[in-house]
Amino acid sequence: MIKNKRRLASALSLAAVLAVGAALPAAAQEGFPLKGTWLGTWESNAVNGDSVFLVLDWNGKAISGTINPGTDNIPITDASLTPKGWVVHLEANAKDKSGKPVHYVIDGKIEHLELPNRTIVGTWKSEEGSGAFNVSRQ
Amino acid sequence: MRFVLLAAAAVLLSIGVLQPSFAQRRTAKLPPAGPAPRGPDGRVLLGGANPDQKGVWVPSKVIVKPLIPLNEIPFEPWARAQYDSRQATRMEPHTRCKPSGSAREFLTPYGVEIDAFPRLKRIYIFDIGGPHTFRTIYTDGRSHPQDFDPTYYGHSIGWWEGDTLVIDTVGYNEGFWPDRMGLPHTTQLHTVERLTRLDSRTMTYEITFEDPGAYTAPWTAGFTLRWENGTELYEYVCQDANEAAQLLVGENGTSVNRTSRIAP
Repeated sequence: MIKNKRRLASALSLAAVLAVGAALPAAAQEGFPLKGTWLGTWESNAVNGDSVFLVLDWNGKAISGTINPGTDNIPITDASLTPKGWVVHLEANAKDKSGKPVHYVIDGKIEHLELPNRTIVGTWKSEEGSGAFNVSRQ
Repeated sequence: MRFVLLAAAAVLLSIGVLQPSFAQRRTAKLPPAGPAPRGPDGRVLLGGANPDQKGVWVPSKVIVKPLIPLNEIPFEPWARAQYDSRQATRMEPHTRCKPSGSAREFLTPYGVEIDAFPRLKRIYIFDIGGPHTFRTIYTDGRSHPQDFDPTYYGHSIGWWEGDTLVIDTVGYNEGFWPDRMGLPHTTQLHTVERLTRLDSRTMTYEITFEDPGAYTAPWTAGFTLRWENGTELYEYVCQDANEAAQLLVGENGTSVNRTSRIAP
């Protein structure tokens, strides 16, 4: 019973974040490489779960965004894209269930830049753990 | 039978004698261009001189290089890096049958037809090569809307400055390349195009790009369009049989992610 409730909650959460993503403009494939919605995994994340959803934007000067909008709402506090090698660096501040701060650092690279559904592949780490990071642009 | 063969030979011979050879047609000089046609109000016509004169505008020469030298384009660093990466992959959305906004529309194959409807206060630009689309330019004095869902062609308003049609466009989405070579842009792109018909056969096209998301300053480029007399719009549906096998199965049989969700 508890397992089913957890699965239902997880499915509803994912549906909620996908609904948020669906409301965003869909045709941003050829603009700033990081702009858009990204869906994937940050493995072994005991605080926020293995599924991760990013919404990133570019205003001409800075990258902004949110991790897991609609559920965890983790604001991205620092972000950069280095064109040489298309290296991505993201930092975000979250809180665990007890309210203790969790600072995420994500480092990766964009792969298949030429495709609308390009990917960011790399690693994530925080005070609570670390693991592989892999998201695809939707 | 012999008579039939001789008659056929005579016909073929006469055709060969009376018709100029291909080489002769290529080198035959065109008659001098006439003045740009004008309507009853004195305004330059961007289409045929009269309803019976059909034609489209094509680039006066095929443009497969940057619109201006690359070192003159004020790229943001990420934009220049993305431009460079596109030279290797060449995955232009146009080849996946997406509409092409701004300058790229005038560089699509087979030409564009420009039709003005004074009563409607609109101008439509139809392009042949591509997904059978058209672009609307409002000439009724309206301003750009504050909230506009970005589109491939954006929101265009136009007005005349003498014999030049000025087209101001905002609201582009990021789903196309503004030229054939891979210029990046963002939804902040604002273009000002100037079309000036010089004579019956020639029109200049100038475009100013202003996009603080991708370029550090506005910049301007242009090219010349040639009137291709007699060509009428015809059905060309890019999506029909648009199958790029190498994108379906990859090179050497490797599988790749599909780049478009549009079914072939």
